Amino acid sequence: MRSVFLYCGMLVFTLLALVPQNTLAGSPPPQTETKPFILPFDSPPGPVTWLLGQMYGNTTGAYGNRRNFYAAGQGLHFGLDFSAACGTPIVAIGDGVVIGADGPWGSAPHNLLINHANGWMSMYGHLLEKPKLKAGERVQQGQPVALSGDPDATCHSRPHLHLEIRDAKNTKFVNPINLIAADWDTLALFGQFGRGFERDLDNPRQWQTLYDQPDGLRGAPLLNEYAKPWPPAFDFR
Amino acid sequence: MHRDSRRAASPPPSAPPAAKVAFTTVPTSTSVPTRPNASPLSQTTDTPTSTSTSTNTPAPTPTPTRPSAQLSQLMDGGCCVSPFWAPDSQSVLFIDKPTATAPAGIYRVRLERPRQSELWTERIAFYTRELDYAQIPAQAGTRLIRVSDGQEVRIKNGGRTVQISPDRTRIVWTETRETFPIENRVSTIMLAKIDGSEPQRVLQTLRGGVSGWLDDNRLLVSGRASRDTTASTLFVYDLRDESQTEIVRAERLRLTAPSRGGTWIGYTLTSDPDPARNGLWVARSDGTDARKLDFFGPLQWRDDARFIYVPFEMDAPMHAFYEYDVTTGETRRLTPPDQTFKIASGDWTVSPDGSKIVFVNAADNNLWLRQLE
Repeated sequence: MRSVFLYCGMLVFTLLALVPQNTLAGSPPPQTETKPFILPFDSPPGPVTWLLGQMYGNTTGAYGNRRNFYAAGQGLHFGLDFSAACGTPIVAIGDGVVIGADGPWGSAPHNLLINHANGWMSMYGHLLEKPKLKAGERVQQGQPVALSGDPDATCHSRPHLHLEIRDAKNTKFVNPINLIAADWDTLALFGQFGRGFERDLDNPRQWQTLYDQPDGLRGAPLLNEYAKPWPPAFDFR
Repeated sequence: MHRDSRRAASPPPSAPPAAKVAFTTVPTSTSVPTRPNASPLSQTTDTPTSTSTSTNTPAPTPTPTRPSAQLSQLMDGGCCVSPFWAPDSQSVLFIDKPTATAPAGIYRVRLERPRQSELWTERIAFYTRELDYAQIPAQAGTRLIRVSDGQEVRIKNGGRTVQISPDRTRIVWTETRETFPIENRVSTIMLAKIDGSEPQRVLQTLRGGVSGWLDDNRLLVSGRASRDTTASTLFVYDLRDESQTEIVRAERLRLTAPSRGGTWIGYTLTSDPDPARNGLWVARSDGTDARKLDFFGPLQWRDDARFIYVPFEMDAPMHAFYEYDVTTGETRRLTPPDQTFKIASGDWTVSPDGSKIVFVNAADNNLWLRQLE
């Protein structure tokens, strides 16, 4: 597997050399690209409302917990965290049909899963209370669907929304940043707790940007069981 | 919107008073001198030696820099995230492995030779700003290495990173058992001589820790004082007399940034029950002169009185660097309005001399340099 990554990295490196300067691959998708979803809040970001928290992907935080919390998603933080006070209204990121609330989709204490017509599902986790929506109910993009909560259910521990985008088969997690239209570069000015993305020192350029993060397959082997990780992580339990 | 050259401080809606706070101080018998000579680090091991194993990497084909006298591309290939500065502010370092056969290591690009990186050292570590110490966390104990002669000691702290006092005589670190619920985690702040000897507990907080040294004797610390409160307190702890000076107490402290001389502290409050408190603040480290600023954004200090910040303005066509002087209250824009760039991943850093900024450009994921006057 590692050799595949190395090969891919070399291939990308070779391709980069062929691309005109300042239009490099690995850069954000062009602004003209249409992204199907919107942010899960109807209020603008800021210190009063919400801010970006942990990114999707191969974060240092996920790496440190790759064998426990994030093992199901190949060692990735397979969603996007938004820091928000308990009770902050959450809106549907796209038109869809509610699959259910408080189902077996993780992110306790309450969650909500919505199926969209474009092949994706959105999962809203760590909610304050069980959403009042019923399975089969239609929702529209921007419609309030839930209230943000706290995984520890205290509202002063680490209140945030955990948002996942999964494929329609519920087997794959993808990077929400590539599907949600937003000014991610500005949001990231105040995001990213910790030290960013974990490095594989055999291929340290891999997966180091917001946009360039791998998909996660449920139950598949870890993607980041590195022989030479940086920074190293230890079990402090 | 941002206006240049204005007084940015607004009257603090609820400016926290300078106050003593009561965290659990662990009695110690420390009598560490304030400015002794650096300890000898006598426990020598097979430390990496030279830091000048320079190996020129293939230089990419030079291409014209974007037409700006003060904004220039420093690296290409999208290689270099999390850059940091050499002490002389003349080169930038980053972790890389530029080709399949090149070693992984810390590479350096000199400002006078953009796009030509060279291996600085294969010893990947966390370095001090002065590059005089490196540390490599390891379960058996963090390896603390003096760069000048490679002398190394192991700090028996389970692999936690340490913070070194400005006079290079002492270290501190925070020990927190990662138990649940998170809010009840007990954090113990440990102090030792720089060789790891004489470790001692100095303070305990709930779910907090030490942010860093303000000077040779004062630490910036945060945490909850007890389980009876949900608020965290940011305070200054003086190792000489064990005094604790409160800077602010709030539900959500997001960023704490001491100025380079330790005189001032910048911090942000978010999601506070009192909305008027949320935002960017500065206060003196003696607990006085707290003020909420009428702008918001990430900051980095340029010196002991001025910081640089990037206004947090969603959907603005570009980012910009501004400077705020805490002594005068003046704000001024450092990048011209026609200079279009956005920072990727919030990845930017100010040079030690305060004259330059290096950042990852969101347009190409390359390092770019912004010279300041």
